[in-house]
Amino acid sequence: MTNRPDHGDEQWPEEWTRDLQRLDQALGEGRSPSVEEFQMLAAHTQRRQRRRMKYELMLFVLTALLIVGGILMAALAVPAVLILIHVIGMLAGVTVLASSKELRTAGKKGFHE
Amino acid sequence: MILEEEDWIRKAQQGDTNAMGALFKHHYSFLYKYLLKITMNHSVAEDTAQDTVIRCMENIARYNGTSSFSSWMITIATRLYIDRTRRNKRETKWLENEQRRSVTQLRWQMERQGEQWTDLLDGLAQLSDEHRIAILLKHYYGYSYEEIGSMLGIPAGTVKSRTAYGIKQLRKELNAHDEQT
Repeated sequence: MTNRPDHGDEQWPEEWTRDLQRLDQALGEGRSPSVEEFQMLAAHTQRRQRRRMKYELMLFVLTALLIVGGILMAALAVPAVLILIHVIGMLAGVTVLASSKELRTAGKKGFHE
Repeated sequence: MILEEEDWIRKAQQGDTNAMGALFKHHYSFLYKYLLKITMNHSVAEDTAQDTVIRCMENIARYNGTSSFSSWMITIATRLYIDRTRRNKRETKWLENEQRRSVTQLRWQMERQGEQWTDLLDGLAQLSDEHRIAILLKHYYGYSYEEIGSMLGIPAGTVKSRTAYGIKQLRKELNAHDEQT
């Protein structure tokens, strides 16, 4: 049985670093691809990335067209419903604005009192 | 070499595949050796290294130079490896057997080259991934607790406690080995 020196819990003996360095040296770097293989991989990755970006852009444009087209169709088919939605929206906006102004005024009064 | 590396990075960010090839060839060995130590498994290290290279190539434009390029790479590699092990948690039993088999392989490979497989390496192999990663990054690669925390996306205090616990476990393992011999 060997006696190891008593270190604090967080101390890292130098011999442990040496053990790991020997592991690094002994195991080498596996099968490291050549520069040409990395270049091919880079070119392939760029092509794939460009394709993906084009695909995402197309998806975005199609979705936007679908939404805008849907709204336009609804507007042309039943204009009364669209006007109703706009009126409700506007009324809701005005109500929120008015009530928030009232709340702000009440808050200011309370603060000064 | 640093100037050359900066030049490679700048060109790679502009889409130069030759510079990208040279840059990743230069760093691959470091990346693979790091992954081999944290995974203790040749095939997982190789797979993760390849995934890391692809991920780095895709995101090279986002590299801003606040850390060294190798640190940026091993941050991505560590996160990829952690994600992969989380996804494979259901296959724990199989993974444990695979881990044992690959440690035996590493040991055999090292001894074939006349190097001794020490109790420390045995102990490291038995630690959980999170403790092994914290210990290696702190004590072998020399990162600070804060740096490791930002690499792994966890608080520095957690890194500190993982490192301390890991070393404690290692000492326990080594003492158990000593008592047996």
